[in-house]
Amino acid sequence: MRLIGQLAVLTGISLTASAIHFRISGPPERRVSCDPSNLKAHEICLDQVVARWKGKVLWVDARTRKEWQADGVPGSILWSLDPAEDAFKFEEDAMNHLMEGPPAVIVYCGEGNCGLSHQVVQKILKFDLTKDVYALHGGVGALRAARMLKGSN
Amino acid sequence: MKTTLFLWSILTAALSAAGLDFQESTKAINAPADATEIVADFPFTNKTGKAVEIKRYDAGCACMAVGVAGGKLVYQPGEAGVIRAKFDMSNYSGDVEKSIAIWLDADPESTPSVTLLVKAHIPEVIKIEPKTVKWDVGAPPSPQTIKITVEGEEKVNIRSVSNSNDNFTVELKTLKEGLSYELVVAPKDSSVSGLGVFRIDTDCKIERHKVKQAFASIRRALPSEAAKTQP
Repeated sequence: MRLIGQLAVLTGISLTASAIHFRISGPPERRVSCDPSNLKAHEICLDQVVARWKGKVLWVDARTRKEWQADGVPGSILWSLDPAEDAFKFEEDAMNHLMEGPPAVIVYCGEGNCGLSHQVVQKILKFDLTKDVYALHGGVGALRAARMLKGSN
Repeated sequence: MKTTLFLWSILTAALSAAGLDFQESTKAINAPADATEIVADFPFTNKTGKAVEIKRYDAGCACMAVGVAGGKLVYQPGEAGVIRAKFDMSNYSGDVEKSIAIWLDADPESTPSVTLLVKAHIPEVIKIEPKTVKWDVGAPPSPQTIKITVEGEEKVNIRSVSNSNDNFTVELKTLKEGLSYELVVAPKDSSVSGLGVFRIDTDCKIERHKVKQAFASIRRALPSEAAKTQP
């Protein structure tokens, strides 16, 4: 009985400390951290996209059609590597947008574990219409934290 | 109080320590040109002193199915298992890297304990170089060439080339039957911007390599491009 009481005290102390920390520091940082010095080739931080082009770029969503339709960046185009999709159609669609001369092309994919954006970046670079093609570090997680996804603001 | 603190520390340690030992975390696979799927197995052993549970695994892509052999998710100390990744290559060629994230026990959502990597080389069979021929608006409409090279073991013949834009002329030249071709493209009028899409239909026996696509563009130079060309 004494043991349970002591555990309860420790739990109480932990919860109180957490509450004080929350009051002082605010809610946990949900932004996706991104260090420009640690980026891969043709990868970019969201802060850089905003600073350089004010976010006015051609956004390419490399997720599935369903995910893109649910919360893709407004104005983005889809380029999914889903085998069920028509790859030629995506190429043609991207080319039509590139013809308009966007200042940069930013490709994003899912949260956490996603290399799809890098694959799509390589495909767009092969068109040789622009060298400013980048995969967004942190993918959709970074966009969600910045409230840039459809329905997030 | 000492006992309580001891139990408390054991509890918190158990929540933070977890692990599976993988024989290799990266698999390099050279896929044959006609393969539509490749399989990568990642054997592992629980070398910790307690049971480890695989909570979740994700390849972040509809192109890759990941599973644990036998569907077993909890591994006692010393027990071994296999993570199997099946990669649908229908839309891929060249060098492709796919990662698989595995969350164990109390891993936070943002940091899986294990990341495995599949590095696949998928032969292109038919190489198109360059993918796009381009002219600035108003530039001389001189012809440009797209080289089509068969890189697979078997010969591939071009059956037809479709052209989406009448403002471009397209001439197919055979350099070596079944091996090497040229597509000579020229704009009729380069004073107007436009995009040409060329579908190259072949008799390649591998379905996903049968049709290739190339482009021609006439467009105004971007301010950034114009600045680069100025002295």
